[in-house]
Amino acid sequence: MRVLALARQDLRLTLRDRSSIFWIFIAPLLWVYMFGFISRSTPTRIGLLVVEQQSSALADRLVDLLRAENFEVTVVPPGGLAPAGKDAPPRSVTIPAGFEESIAARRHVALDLKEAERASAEGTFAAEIALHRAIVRLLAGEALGPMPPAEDALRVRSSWAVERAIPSGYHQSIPGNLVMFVLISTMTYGAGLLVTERKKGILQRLATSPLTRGEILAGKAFGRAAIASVQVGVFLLIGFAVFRIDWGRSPVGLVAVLGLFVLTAAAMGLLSGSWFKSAEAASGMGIVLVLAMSALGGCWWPAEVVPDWLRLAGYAFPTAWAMRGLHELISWGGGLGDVLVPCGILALFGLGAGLLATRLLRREV
Amino acid sequence: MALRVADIRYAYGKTVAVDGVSFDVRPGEIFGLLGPNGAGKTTTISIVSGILPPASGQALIFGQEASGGSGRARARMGVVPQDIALYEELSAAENLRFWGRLYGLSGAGLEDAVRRSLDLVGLADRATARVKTYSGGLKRRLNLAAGLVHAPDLLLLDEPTVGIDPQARLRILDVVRDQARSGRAVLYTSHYLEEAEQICSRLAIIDHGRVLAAGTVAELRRLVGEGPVVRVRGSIDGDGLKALAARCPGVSFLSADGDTASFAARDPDACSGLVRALFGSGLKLDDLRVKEPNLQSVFLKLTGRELRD
Ligand SMILES: Nc1ncnc2c1ncn2[C@@H]1O[C@H](COP(=O)(O)OP(=O)(O)OP(=O)(O)O)[C@@H](O)[C@H]1O
Ligand SMILES: [Mg+2]
Repeated sequence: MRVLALARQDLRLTLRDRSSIFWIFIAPLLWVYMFGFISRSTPTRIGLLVVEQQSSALADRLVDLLRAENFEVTVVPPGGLAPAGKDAPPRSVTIPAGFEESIAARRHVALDLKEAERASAEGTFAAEIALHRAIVRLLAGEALGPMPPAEDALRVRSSWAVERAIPSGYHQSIPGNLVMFVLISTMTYGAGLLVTERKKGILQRLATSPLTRGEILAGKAFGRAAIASVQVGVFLLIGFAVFRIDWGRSPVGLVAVLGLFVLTAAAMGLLSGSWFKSAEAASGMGIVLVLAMSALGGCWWPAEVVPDWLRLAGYAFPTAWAMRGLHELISWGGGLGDVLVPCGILALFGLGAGLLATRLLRREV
Repeated sequence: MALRVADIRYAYGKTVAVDGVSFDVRPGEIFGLLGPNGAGKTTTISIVSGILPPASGQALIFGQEASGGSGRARARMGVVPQDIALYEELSAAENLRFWGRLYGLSGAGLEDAVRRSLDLVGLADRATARVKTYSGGLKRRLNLAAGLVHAPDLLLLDEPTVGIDPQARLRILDVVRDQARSGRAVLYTSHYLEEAEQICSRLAIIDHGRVLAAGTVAELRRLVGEGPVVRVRGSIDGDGLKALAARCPGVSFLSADGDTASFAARDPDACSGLVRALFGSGLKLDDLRVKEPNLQSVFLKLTGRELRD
């Protein structure tokens, strides 16, 4: 009970500070939106103009197959006028007159794929591949008889070296900012409050109260955990209500990762609060440390896009493990079993920081 | 016995801060610990309240060490630290509520205790203002209230009147006296001799971590004799004055410190002999006073130094 009184005091002092309202409640919303917007994946639908020089059933089927390839297809019928200007698709493919007859007679047919100057090379490359796929399907259908589209007669099963999608959009920016902001809250507010209590002799005064040394240390740790929990709550709410992201299929896994991360962040706040000599130093250095750990840990951009050595360096910090745990659940559909390693390592970070902080604080209580 | 301090010692590295201090404080009594800056008062209170472990010796609060795990002894003591230890961002009432809660108070009992302590120190009308808007003196009063909120049986007050105006000081002294009258034991450190003389039933004079003398004010006064004390200020020479005192019957030299020197006279006759000798000596004196012996003169005799505010 008395331990909770200490934690409550920390929470109240944090929320009493006016700037905390901005940093804890408003800034996350702005940051998530901004980072999510920057890292959103590029639209996958490529615009394609199909010029039919002559209508035929086979040409129509090719158009359907192209649409199934996820093209934004605009068909120009025979004699029709191709759209021009900025909004016109930047690529066109021309189906020549006599297409159907030529195929039936097994005569050579050429489909012209042309790109406008402003078209991106990758898009045209993708269009070329997709066009080939559509043609293979079309010819397979002709040779073997029509089949339901989901069950192609011929199909390539490919396996990729990188099985995991690179997280993007809000699925990156919500966990990324969650990890960063929770650390900001414990390492600036949380640490600063503790330094002030040390400097003002409040910690010593606490030591003269009936609380045991263990209760005081636990109370101070829980205080920082309470601040961190409020920040996590804000992100869960933003994620559910504003950006509507999917938090994955394992609520237990999510609670485990977030819970251990909260405790780790609390321990780090405790450590920084018992280390620094002034509240300004604690929060100033705290911010620098948090930003560095966030960048290296994959909070700002997915760890998958940086060079390997940098990604590995990130694993020296709890941020990387928290991000990995969250992505396992949110981005890669993992369950509790997939987050056990990140959880274990977070617990080790928390324990280490907590023990070190306790040693330093023993000088005072 | 509310507090029994037996031969405690403590050193910060090579600095010996407390060097074998012993005293007792009984319920209902105000015991003064009197000494100049750096005498070891705060260190003594820190050992008593369990913040510092003594290198040797023992301090028992109602028979138990304060640092004991159960916290039962700590629950009965109220500590008012020398430095103001309060939350500046919170109001006076919120601060007191916080400290009260740590001693197990809650609900109506807590609110009562908070109101009572605020009344005691005269802060009832400023209860909801944030502490950071308080003046130094008001903060000090609240600092005291925070040590009283749980109605402790033993009060450890470390210079509770430093830096406040005379009126507020009188008020605090009244509060302390009331606490003792209602049966509480008070350990009171100060370097204001007059204050200690007014409120302490017994006191110890400490310097360099040692108790130089202890007893009631009357007992301590007797250390310099019943007769008057003569204090002179001017361009003086210690050895010359010592020799002069030796030539006057019934006069003993107390101290010479900077431009002041003091003597104790056995009776008024000895006193007039001394004054005559002083004027006859040709010394340039700016000031000469004849006073009743007080703690000031005791302190002078014991330490050879003045204790100034
Ligand atoms: N934290 C510390 N580290 C090193 N030396 C200290 C420390 N605290 C006190 N001292 C030294 O111990 C001695 C006793 O100090 P203490 O604070 O107990 O004196 P005090 O009687 O309370 O003085 P004051 O009237 O100035 O409050 C002094 O010499 C002081 O310099
Ligand atoms: Mg002191």
